[in-house]
Amino acid sequence: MKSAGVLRSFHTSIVLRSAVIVMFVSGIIGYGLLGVITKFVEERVQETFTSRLGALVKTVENTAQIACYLSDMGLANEVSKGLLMSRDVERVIIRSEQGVLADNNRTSVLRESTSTKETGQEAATTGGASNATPATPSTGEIPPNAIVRSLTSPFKADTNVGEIIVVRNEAEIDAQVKTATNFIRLMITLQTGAIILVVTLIAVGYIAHPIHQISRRLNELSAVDGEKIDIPRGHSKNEIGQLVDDVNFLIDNLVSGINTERNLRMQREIEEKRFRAIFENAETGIFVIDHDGLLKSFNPSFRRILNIDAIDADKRDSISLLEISGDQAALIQEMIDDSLKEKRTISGEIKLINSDGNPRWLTMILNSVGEDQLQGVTNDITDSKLREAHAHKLALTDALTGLGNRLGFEKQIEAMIEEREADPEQNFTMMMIDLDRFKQVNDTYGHDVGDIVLIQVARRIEQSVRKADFAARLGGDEFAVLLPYLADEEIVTRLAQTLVKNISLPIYTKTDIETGVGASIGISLVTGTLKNKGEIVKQADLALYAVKHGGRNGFRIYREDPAPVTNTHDTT
Amino acid sequence: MKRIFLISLTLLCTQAFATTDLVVVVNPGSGVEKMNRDDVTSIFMGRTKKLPSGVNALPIDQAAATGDKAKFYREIINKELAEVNSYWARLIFSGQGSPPRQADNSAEVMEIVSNNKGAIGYVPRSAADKRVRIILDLSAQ
Repeated sequence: MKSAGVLRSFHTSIVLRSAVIVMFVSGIIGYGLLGVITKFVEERVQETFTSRLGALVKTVENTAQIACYLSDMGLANEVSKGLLMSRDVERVIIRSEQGVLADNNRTSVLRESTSTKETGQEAATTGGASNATPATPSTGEIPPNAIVRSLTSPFKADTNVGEIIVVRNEAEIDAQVKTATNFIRLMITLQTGAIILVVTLIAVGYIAHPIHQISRRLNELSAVDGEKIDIPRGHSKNEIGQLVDDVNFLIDNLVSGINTERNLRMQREIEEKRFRAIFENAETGIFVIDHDGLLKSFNPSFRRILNIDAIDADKRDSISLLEISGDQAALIQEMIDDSLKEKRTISGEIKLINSDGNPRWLTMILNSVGEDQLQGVTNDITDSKLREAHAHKLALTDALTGLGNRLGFEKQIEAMIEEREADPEQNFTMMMIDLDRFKQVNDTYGHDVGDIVLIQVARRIEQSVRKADFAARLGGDEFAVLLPYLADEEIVTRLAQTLVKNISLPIYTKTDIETGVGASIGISLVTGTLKNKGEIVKQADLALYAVKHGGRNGFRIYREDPAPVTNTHDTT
Repeated sequence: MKRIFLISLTLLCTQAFATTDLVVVVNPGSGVEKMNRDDVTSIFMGRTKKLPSGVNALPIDQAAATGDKAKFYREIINKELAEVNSYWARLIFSGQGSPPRQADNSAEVMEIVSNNKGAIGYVPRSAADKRVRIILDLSAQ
């Protein structure tokens, strides 16, 4: 548990981590350094040792020479013991040609010095014997790093008289090396400790503490309100300060970004509401369809115009514009295809039949807004259409009789001539009717009665011809009838007889006045070569003129050849 | 002929070594005919206690005042008297040995040598007579 906590702290605490890393690294470096330094120190100590021993041996060399020259064991012992006074020396052997003069080591000398003075005295006397005793084999091998100096005669430099062997005190060397090493180790440890302390303090003071401060401030921060982080004291110019500046800059950007976005969103909501209001409240029907005319969405006006509510509720999920437009489906499909293909706005007028049988006109504009999507608007133009038709009708209608007026007649005949020009088979017939004795009626009973007579005549003409035939009052007591698709002389003759007969029937007014008029009819059969309006009217006029002159109350069909002009008078 | 050679050699030596005319002498009964410089040195510096013939040696030094002593030691070991004294002082201090017996002058040396079988000493050539035997001529190289 605890180690896990430490491990987590190691991962979460910069201070702990840097302290551990510094400890680890300086430990390794210190250890390596210690090894190198120890080796170096050891070498130095060895060198110092050797040179010191050399110097030491040098000081006793003369005496040792004399001792060897004289094979004087006493003197040799003196020399060796003197040398052993130095702690650097472990053992001293002085040899002459006669044998070993002295062989003392540290422990024996120590023992000697701790034993009684008497023994020392005795040893001295024994050593005083000038004759060298036979060489006793020295105990212990002479180590290879011992100092061996050959000794020459004090009086003759080229004559060897013996040698002095000084064995170093390795324990002392080790002790000196150890002392030096310990000192260095202590130094390195102290330095490492100091470094760890400094690094930790720096990590805490300059990094962890400011970061912690910033972190706490960040947590408390309400960035949306544009709050900023304070730079920790004393860090305004370093990386921490830079970091805080950057964070503040980021906050600024964020806040302004948020504000901008918020404003944009509000603006968009307003726009959307506005458009939604337009969409919802527009009198125009607005809708979106795909290439099959399937409705994707539409506004209330569209619902009203196309009477969507009349459709079964369960079918309202997929309504096709084509299905609800009856016989106009082909037209709409064509508009859809054109708009999608040409990527442009197509407008058209469609005519629907209401459930009550009345026609309704709609304008429809389709606009391709995607691969498979069209946006459309539609308006109900039935009222204006009706108004227009009414105005049109008024313009072409004789106000008194309800028949067409002269303008209406001219438009009609022009249309028929045009039709015939397109298809010469489309023959027709024109009748010019002039009332007989109308002037007398007018003069006798007044205009009111005259008007009644004209109305009566108009009704009788209407009743005598087919529904598709066009009757007009050209002015005064002059009427005209256009019979489309009819130029058969026999039928026309029969029709003309009927007309003359019907018009000539007595007319009763409300005031019980019995009166009556006659009718003279000039007929032009429009067949064969193409004729213009003037020619046709002239032919009918000529035929009428002939009837008038021939005794009235009858009809005549105009003939190309002038001689045989059929003059058929109604004899009744 | 030989004499002329010797004289000329002596002249040469005189020129080279100032006035070294010392000779080492022994009792004619010592049984010693010749000795070299090393042997003489060994006896005078205390290394050897006997003459080559086996007789116990009795080296006789001279007083420093004669000037012959300094000449002698310079000649045989090339050392000043102070050094020689220091040598002996060292041995005396450690109780190991003692310097040779000292005579006041050449005559006393001659007296002692002629009267002691193992005695050995040094005198100027002029002082040497029939009572002693010259075993080494220090003027000769």
